[in-house]
Amino acid sequence: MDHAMALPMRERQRENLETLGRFSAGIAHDFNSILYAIVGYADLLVMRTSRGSTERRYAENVLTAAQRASALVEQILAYGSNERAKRCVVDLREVVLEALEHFRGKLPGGIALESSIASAPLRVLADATQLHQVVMNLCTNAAHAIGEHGTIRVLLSAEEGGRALLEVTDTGCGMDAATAARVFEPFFTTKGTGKGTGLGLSLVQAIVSDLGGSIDLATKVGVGTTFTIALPLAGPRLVN
Amino acid sequence: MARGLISVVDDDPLVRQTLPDVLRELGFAAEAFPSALEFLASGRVAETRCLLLDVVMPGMSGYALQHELQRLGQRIPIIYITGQTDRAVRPRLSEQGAVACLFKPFCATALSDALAAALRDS
Repeated sequence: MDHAMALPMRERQRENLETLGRFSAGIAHDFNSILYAIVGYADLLVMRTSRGSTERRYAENVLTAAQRASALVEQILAYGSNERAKRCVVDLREVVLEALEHFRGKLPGGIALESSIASAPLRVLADATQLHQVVMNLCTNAAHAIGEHGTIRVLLSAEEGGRALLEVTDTGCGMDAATAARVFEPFFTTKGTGKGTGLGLSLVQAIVSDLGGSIDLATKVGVGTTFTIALPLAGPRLVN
Repeated sequence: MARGLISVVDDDPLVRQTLPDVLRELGFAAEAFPSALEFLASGRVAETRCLLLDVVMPGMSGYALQHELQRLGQRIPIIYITGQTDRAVRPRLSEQGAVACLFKPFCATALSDALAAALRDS
């Protein structure tokens, strides 16, 4: 089933987000300094109040809020960074392994992470930071779909026809057709406040399509979801 | 008991207000300057044990101040503090000889760790 939005609409949304990203980049420097004042003084309050006190809890809540604001700024800015992306030949395999290592450290105890990663390098022309973000966003999304207990499976392989395939499957709640149709829409989220910015998957789509790749999803309510990304390989695959 | 002077150079008044307060809470003497030139003219360069330096500033940038200090033979450990979100700048700043690069908004623990490394190396 194809839940993809009409191409012109997706293009328009991507352009809008890139404009927002460029605009945000202009104010990010100042905005992060303002956030620093909030974090700095909240830190001081944490240091000056006793553990378990109401005042300490208030100060810690200010810190949490500031961290959320900071994460949101980073997500929005990532849209503007497409233009600044430094593309070179990178080994997707290395990026995925590194991202999974990073992600494993953030994973709640009840969620298992399984992976099957190609043994030979998969060279693609891309920005490693953006690829890292693609993997992290897909895995974070999978973890949110699962909730407390389940499994995330990550597969990376080479496909006939010179493409690298990255599959991220979760045993989470799955999506109905209406949700699946909107999943790449910027600011669309089913997650509770503070858990999702609604930018993660639309950013993944923007990055992947910018690299000449494609993204598909297969989902079933109560069973789970698989996102499949295909990226063109840059050159001959090195076979060890 | 103050643990030596930490100087802050940042064009943003909010940072010049916040950072010295946090540094004093961590036990350091702190002074903030709105520009590289004001720091150079302050007479506090020689006693500065570590410099917390913004990267992007009008006039003389953080990089330019670092080079000027090198030219003057002042080997002050530098920790860059930046509002930029491009993580790729970190290795470039390290190549320039900075001890660390903190991305605003950073927490007091990250600051304290970076200062410990800077003062250990100096």
